[in-house]
Amino acid sequence: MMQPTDVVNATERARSHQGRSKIRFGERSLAVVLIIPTLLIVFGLTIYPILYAFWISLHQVDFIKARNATPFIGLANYAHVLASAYFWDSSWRTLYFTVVSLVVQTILGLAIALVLNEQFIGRGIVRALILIPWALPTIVNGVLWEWIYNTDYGALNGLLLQLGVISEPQLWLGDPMRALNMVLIADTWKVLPFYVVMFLAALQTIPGHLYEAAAIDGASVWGRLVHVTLPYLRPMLLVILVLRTLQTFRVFDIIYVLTQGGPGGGTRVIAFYAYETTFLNLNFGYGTALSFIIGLGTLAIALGYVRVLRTEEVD
Amino acid sequence: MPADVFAPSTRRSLLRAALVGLGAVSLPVLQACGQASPPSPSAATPKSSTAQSTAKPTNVATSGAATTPAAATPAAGAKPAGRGGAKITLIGSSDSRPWFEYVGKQYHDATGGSLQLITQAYDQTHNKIVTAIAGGSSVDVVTVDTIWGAEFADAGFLTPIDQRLTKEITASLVPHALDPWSYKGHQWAVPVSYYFKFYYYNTEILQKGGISAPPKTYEDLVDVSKQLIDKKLVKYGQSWGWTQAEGLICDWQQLMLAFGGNWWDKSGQWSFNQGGAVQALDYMVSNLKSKVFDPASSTLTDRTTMNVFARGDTAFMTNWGFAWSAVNDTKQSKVAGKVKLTINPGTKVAKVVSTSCGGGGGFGITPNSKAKDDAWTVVGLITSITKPENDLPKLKMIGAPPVHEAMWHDPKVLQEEPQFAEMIKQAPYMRHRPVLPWYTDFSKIVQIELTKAFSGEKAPQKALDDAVAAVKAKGNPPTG
Repeated sequence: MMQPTDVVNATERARSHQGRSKIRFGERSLAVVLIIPTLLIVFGLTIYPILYAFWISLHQVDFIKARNATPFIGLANYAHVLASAYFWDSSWRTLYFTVVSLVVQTILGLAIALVLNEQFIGRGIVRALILIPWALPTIVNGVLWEWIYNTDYGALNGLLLQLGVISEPQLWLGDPMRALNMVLIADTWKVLPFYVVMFLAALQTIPGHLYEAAAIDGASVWGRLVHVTLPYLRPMLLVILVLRTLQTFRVFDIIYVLTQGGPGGGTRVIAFYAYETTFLNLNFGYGTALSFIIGLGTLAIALGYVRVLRTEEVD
Repeated sequence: MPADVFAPSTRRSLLRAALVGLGAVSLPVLQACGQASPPSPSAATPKSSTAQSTAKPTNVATSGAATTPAAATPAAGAKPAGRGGAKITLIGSSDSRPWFEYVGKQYHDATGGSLQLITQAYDQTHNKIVTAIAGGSSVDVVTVDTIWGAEFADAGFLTPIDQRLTKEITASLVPHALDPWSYKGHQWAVPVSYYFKFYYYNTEILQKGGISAPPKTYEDLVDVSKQLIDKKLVKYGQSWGWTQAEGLICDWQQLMLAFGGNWWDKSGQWSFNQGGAVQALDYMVSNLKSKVFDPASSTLTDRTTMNVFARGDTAFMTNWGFAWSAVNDTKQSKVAGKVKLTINPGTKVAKVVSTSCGGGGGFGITPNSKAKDDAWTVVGLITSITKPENDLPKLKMIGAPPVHEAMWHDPKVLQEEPQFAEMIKQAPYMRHRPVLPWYTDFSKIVQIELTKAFSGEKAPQKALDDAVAAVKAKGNPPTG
């Protein structure tokens, strides 16, 4: 049986003696044949649609305004997006959502992971329980929180009223800014297990003797956290940040279920705006241009992380 | 050593994986768009011979049979002799699936053809239709909500059916039944149900409060509500479904028209920031604030607002016909058997008797359909337009109120649905929402500004001024 590495080696060899041996050439074509299905899939499912979408974004493809005329309009769609107040509103909202999500969730996730890393009775059960929210589909989570936030019969108002924290039922999803924060809380509940599991995995790789040494040197609990634990968690933190930034930047499903972008457009994040433009208003040209701008935005963030990671490595 | 756990290469490859992931996941909208291409004008009447030749071989028996009556007998092939119904593909909401299956059998028995169903939750239906038709899938019949008619017509998703609607059919329908799909001088779809909003009231609460009849005007509604709240019979007078969603527009139109406002004036200019319209929004906002209306209304939909009424926390509710069975279901309602119906209130200030917003759905035929005659047969059966006997089973199976005027007065129907006698009284006061191809955009703008008034971010006049300005920038009111 030929291992993938053999194929690579064979290809290398074939390259150095190009065309000299029929057998070698055969191996090379075999390599090509083996790659073709994957290439086709990647091309068909990713590259072609992206190129085609880019093509659409350069045209006026607005089914409602003119369905048969799709003139080439260059970068006009992009210019319209960048000039749109809706775009900037939803961008700032998305940025707020992303930054606050990351900060809150990282702190909470780390705190829970630190607790679960300690020895205590029932630790296994608690570790399993913490995973439950992660196992729920986002749609179910959205419906769940919709009921929790329900003004008249919701659990949140019920709890806070009984505790005497509030004197009358609150409209949790009635005010734009508050609704955005409530969506953030619902999302946090759902994704926290991801942070916990990732941090926990990293925590378990920290050798115990480092803590012992630090303790002998007189480091306090806080000192051990800052000087031993956190430096070891840094690579994992970066991975979490990369993945979660990309996720929160494109947050859509929980908003679709919980608020539909309301009230007063308060939870209309950038992905929801793109969905509205494309699928509800049928302006595909504008919608694809918008999606490309979102794509470039996420790419820029990803590249930023690559930079940070590089300096990490140099250090 | 911990360094091994996250060696640079691992980190890099993880990041690379993340970046590849970015390519794949950050552009779901793009990929979906990638499938979309504007339907070519030649789709309806194929100009290119290649288009015809590629389409023909697979459909020669069916499409030939369907479009040319002469071919019906010889081309039938595997199908029962003498018949030759085509395979018709339909996109509709999954709520109605049992009804589609019932009609599928009728269609098969009548023609030998088959009905293939593509159903999904109502909320996904619009997108499903858009992506299917724009992507070139062969679909014959699609469901068309009242607010999608103009949009689908302009987008080229529907083919006019004026020729197929006889005068007898049109005359047998309830008032305004065809309005939502009449656009640019053509009829694009026909109604499957006849929905509008009615006024529900809790007889027990009214009786306890010594109120003899439900309020006839919105001014009275406030007075009556305050009495009932003071007597601790209800939490609020009425709860509404005013969250930022389509349901808000229905209620807003109902109240705006009741207060003498209108979407546009006689000169064809948007005018819903003037006169009665502003009074209506003032009325809505101030009564939410004073808790005559459930303050949570701004977070409820027309469905979730039913919970408040069904628990007996309010005395009144404006809602669609489907609420009737829901609030009378002892399993999910505390007020079952205590609910009555009447027409929506009007106002003293504008001397309006009543107003109501129309809804419901319809069915139309796509231009790409290769068997339009068979597609019409299916549409006729589903909507019961061509088969009035279908009105009753449709009502029983999916609760769709009949589209034929006579059925509303039919003793057989009234025996099963006695509330119809009250419901039909609302019909003369019913009006549909604006028939605009960019309705979704229009509706969203108005929804957002109205909710900004509810949350206190803007004063009612300012919110409506902003809504009118934004709508004006997008286009004009429908003409004619």
